[in-house]
Amino acid sequence: MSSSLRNFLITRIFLTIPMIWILITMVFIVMRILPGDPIRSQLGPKVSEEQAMALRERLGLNRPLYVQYFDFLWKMVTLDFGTALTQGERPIIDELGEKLPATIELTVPAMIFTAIFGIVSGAYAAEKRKKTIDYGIRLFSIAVYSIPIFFMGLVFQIIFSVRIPILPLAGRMDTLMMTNFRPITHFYVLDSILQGNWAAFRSCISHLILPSLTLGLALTGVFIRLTRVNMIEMLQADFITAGRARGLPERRLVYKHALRNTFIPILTLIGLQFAILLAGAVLTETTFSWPGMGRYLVDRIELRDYTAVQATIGVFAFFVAIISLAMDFLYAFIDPRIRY
Amino acid sequence: MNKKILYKLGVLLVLLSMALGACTTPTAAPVATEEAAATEAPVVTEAPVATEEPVATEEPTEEPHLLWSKELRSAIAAAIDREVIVDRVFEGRNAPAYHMVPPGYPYATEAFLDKYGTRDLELSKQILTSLGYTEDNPFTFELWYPPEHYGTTTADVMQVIKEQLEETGLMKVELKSQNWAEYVDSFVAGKLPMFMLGWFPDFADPDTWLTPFASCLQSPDNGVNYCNEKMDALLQKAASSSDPAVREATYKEIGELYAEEVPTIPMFWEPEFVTTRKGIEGVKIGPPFEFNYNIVSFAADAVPASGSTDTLIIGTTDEVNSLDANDAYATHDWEILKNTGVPLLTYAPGTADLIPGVAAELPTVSEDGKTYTFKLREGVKFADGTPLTAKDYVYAWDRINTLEGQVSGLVQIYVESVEAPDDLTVVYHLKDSFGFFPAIAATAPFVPVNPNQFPADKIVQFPTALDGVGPYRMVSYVAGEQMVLEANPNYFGDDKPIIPKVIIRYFADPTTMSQAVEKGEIDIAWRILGAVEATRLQSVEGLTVTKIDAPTLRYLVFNCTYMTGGE
Repeated sequence: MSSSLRNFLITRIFLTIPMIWILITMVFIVMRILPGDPIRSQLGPKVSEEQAMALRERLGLNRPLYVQYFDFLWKMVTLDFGTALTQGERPIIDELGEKLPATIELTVPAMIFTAIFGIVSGAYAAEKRKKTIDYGIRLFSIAVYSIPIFFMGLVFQIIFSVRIPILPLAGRMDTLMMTNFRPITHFYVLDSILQGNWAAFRSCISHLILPSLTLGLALTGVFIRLTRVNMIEMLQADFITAGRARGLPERRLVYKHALRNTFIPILTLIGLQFAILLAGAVLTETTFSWPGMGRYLVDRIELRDYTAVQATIGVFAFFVAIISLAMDFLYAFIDPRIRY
Repeated sequence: MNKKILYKLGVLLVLLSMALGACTTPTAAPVATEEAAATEAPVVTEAPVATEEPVATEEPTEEPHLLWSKELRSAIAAAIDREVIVDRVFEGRNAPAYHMVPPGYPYATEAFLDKYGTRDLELSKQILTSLGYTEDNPFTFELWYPPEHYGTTTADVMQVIKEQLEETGLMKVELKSQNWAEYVDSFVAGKLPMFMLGWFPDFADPDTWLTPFASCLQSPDNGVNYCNEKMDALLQKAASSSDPAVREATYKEIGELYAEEVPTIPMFWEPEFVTTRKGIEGVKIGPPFEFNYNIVSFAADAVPASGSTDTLIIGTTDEVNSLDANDAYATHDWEILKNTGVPLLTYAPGTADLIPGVAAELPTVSEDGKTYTFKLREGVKFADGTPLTAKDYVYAWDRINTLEGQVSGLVQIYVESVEAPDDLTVVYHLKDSFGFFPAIAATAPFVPVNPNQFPADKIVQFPTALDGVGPYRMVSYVAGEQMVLEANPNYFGDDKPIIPKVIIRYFADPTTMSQAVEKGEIDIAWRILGAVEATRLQSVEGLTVTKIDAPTLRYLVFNCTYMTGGE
């Protein structure tokens, strides 16, 4: 690692801290500007004002705002996320410990699928430019891009689960298998491997197919179009013409030389799409009753659960920051011209 | 150079965020609402005096005055046609509500039907004309509703109501909506003149449908701010009596007064649907809205979702909020608590008839109606083998008082103290004479908590297991996924579970749940399926969709102390 790369990394990491801080500060402020509070949102008029006051007192919600803010900041620094304010007041770390693995388990296969499928078919369309298959792929990319995720999920459920019952409908694991399954890390795929429980492993994988396919397909459209456009440009570059003149096989030219050079914009897109993927997870998680972070966040915003929302968005921000950092780092490997 | 700019930017952001923080401090909810409550109190008591004369006729003058008079309220009640709302918006699925107390409950009447018929447009016009309103000078007011909290049909309902009221030609309604969280704050603070709400009962007695809205003490909590001495006296009389004949007559009288005074207008009952697959028997959900899993069974032609007749899978879109009986205050939590535990009294499945639960017999009541003595069954044990004694009820009462869980108010309103003179006798001393206390003793906070799982100094919302005294025990729960219940070997009752294992599967979305029951991944699709899905499933072969007359009421509230004019 060159010293300039090390400097770059250190600067980037230090820049990540104020970025996350600004974000969680914004979330803190916005949550409190929003009308409503956790007590009334959850219990409505069922508790008297006196009781509501007692509950606010217990949850520390009637302290001055700046006290709450600095208390919150200090806790974030010490990685103490506190306890949720609604739905059972559990420690946030426990809640996220269950929900975050579920979301990661869903988004990682979706991302892999969308990247591979999108890039390959984009490159193929570029190679077969203006042929029927090219039009077909372009049409497909627009179609999947414009279908709402929840609708696509519902259609998949009806086709592949209800009408042709080959895949399970919803959830992370078979109901009966679940009763004897004791999660360790809450990454169910990983847990079932660790426990050598192959039946559970198969069940996990089959439950993953529809939701991750739905989520992945929704993002594929962008990948296809981006890859195709860049490839077409690249295929007209001088070095490809030179390669052709030297008699290099067309396949090798397209998939090795040209594709590798379109990776920079694609990598940027992967980084950006990851953030969108986390947002898209909300809809997929609802349709497939997947107990992940997206659903959790939406539920808790409705309930005005300040601590839960702050911690969840903080974790999301952390992930997006890490991913974009990793992308910057990867540029240098893909493109030898980039030096930090 | 660049770094300097960054530092400056950082400092600027700190200052900005702190300034924003400081700006929002004064709006801290508690302070504002406390003031509101304090200033409201005296106004409330003046309400009945003011309602004696139609203040609204003075509208042309700009003096501040009460917006609502009882005449105006009844003009609105008379102009509403519930049958049309139910027909147009719900295609006849919902039931029109002609009183706050649901049909099927003890002492239910149809007071609004008796007074106004299904609709009395002429009466409404007559009243409005006598109050001085004309087509050129109509009575104008705001009607508020939450667009999302009670489902997407709410907006349609409100539109029909607006049309019906404006059909008089003498009223002009401005429909307004607010997001639920904001809405609750607004009506509790008394900012909305008229608004729509839903109500779900705490216990199966008319009192839970009337006192919260019509008593001077409780009506401010629900934004009604209604106070009338005669109504208070009647409610008090009905509540304190344990003589059915007296209660019946008094509740009839209350109904008549309620329809005349109109603190709120009952609109309709929202049904719920339970969908069962072929061959599932014993799903009996009666007026108290309790689902006893232990009496459900598979017939010979059933195809269980689990593949075995030993396991029943029930789907729900509800969530668990708390499983501590001294804290839980949500419908689904109570359902789990009542299947894993038994209150002092309980209901015969599918009916509103109170029968002894953990108590060996119905309680004996003291002469003044303030002391209820329960004799417990002998040899009752928790699922882990710990014997249950009368002291456990004192323990629960202490937990309610020291921990102040969400449900504590429901018990504290009525109970003064609890004592256990011996191991099998529990004595409840009440704050006043409450004739409906047996119905309270059948609610979830009267399910005994196992002291091994629920310590005296801490609310345990998510215990790892639930060893109560009920037909089932909870052995595991994974949030958002599933809960497993198994037959309790120590259950005292004769109605031991027919199906020894019950799995509750949690869905995020009613559509997915309906697909699951259609496909056979679950045996029963229970709350909350929604009318759209229920209608679709009715046509699916092999499924039975049963409409449950749930005690879920939608009603309109008049904020009786809302002031207008003089701005």
